Amino acid sequence: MQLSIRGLKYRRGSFALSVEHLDLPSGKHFIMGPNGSGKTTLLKNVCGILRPDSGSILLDGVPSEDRKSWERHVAYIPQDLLLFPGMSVEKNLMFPVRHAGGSLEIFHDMVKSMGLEDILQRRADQISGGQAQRVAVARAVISAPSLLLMDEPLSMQDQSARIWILSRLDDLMKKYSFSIIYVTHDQSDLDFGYDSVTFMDAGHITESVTSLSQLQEASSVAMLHYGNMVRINGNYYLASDESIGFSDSGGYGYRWWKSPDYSVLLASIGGEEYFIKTSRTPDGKYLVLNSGLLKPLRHESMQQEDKNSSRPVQRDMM
Amino acid sequence: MRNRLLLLFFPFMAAYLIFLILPIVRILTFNSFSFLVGDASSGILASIYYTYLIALAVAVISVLLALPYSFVMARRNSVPYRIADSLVEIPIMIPSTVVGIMILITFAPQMPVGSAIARIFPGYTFQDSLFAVIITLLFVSSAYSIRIVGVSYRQEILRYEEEAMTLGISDSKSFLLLSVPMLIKPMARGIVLSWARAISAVGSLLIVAYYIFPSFTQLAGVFIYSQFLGGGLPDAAASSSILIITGIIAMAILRAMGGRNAAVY
Repeated sequence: MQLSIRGLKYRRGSFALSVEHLDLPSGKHFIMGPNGSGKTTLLKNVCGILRPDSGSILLDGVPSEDRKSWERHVAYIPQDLLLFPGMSVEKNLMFPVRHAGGSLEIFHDMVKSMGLEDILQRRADQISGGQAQRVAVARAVISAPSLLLMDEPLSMQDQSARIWILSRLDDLMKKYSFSIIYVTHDQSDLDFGYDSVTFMDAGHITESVTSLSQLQEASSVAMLHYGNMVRINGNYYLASDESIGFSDSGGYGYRWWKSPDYSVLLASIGGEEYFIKTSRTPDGKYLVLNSGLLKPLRHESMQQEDKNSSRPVQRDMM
Repeated sequence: MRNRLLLLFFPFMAAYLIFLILPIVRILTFNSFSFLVGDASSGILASIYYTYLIALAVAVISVLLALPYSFVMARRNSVPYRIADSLVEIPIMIPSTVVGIMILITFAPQMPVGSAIARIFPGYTFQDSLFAVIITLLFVSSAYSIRIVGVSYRQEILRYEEEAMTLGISDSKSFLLLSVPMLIKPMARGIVLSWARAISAVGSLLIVAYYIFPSFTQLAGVFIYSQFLGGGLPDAAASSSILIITGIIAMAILRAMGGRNAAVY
């Protein structure tokens, strides 16, 4: 779903949101900014929880500022998740299926892919924070949205658990054809790739970038740091100086930039792009990762998946 | 530091509790048990029965009104709505006898609203009618239900409803299937408070319905007041003791029912 915003204004009390022009085509988009910059207010206007004072919100070109939120096909996951208390996990997941246009097929798929089989009968207010986050993501996807708004719903997760959900989200986005707008404070989330990064401050959009070169030139780049996460054959690893090598004969394509203290590589691995920070200066045409020295990122559910998977980590990247 | 504050505050807390409990203990022990048994045949039991029943009906009506009221108010934030919302608390601050007079000059058949009702229902009377009792008690007690349900809905429940709507569920379905079950507990709390307030009303009833015709029933507060005027302190104290004992039992039952109903899923 393509989102376009024209002249959006929303004021409550002393806070004013003003978005003159924003175009986000289908894909995965990040919004970043300090607390109170208007990120949540923008998302709530897009999904219809809040009504703008003026301006247009176009969803796939259709003016939607006056459409009811349940008619927009825009699902919203807030930071506190808002699983329906007192209901079981299954009833939470089935709620959009029973009472709206949610998909039973996606329900079965999400229960399996998000590892929720064992907690279906438990009350939603009696599961762990990590489980609740998986349920919230699953419930939103089951509602079959065209656009999924995520308002830092994974901010309380430890890194590996967050990666586990984010990696599946990418696959689900492609499988069920929805776009994502993801609000985050965690710059390492960008390592999963993006179509644009929008920076907000004091109720305004300050910058919007769609490529790494733009990102390098963006004045808001100070907000970013680079994680060293890479995804190989569906598993995640942390790259370190020891695991990185360079070769002129074969490996992964990359670009690099030199900062005073370190080099930043933008590497294309398995069709996805990753930031990798290293103290080394690249001295070869290709990036080589030594699988034996890569540190695997582990999560209980990832381990479970590993048992079910016979795919080895690529050895030919040496 | 925390323990010092605890030591400092504890006497105030204890003094307040003693201040609350002392009059209750005093009235429960004012007469002998045999005197209480004797007073039970004075008509107070029937009066208490009707009082509780009517107060419960009024409390239920209050809560049913609180639902649509809260739904609308939670979605409207403009100045006229905020002014209208602040009116809800006015009945709480008006003296009870004044409420009786206000209700009487509004709903009596010769008054504007009353005469309009009389045109629709020929033979309509107001003073000393069951309708007058219900209208009066609703006026003095409904604010409690409205506030409890309204605040719970706006501050705790509405956001779940909004979340459900982003999942494609319509506003009416979200309200009925999600919010109403979540409102059971605040509604039960509202019923208990409105019920208790309705039972304690006396001054307004003295004006609009000293007796309820045709049964000549007096609600408990009025009954005890008339006992005090006619038979003196012992009779009134004995009936008050019976009212308090039954009230504590009834409130415990209502609270228990509210607690059970809260687990609706």
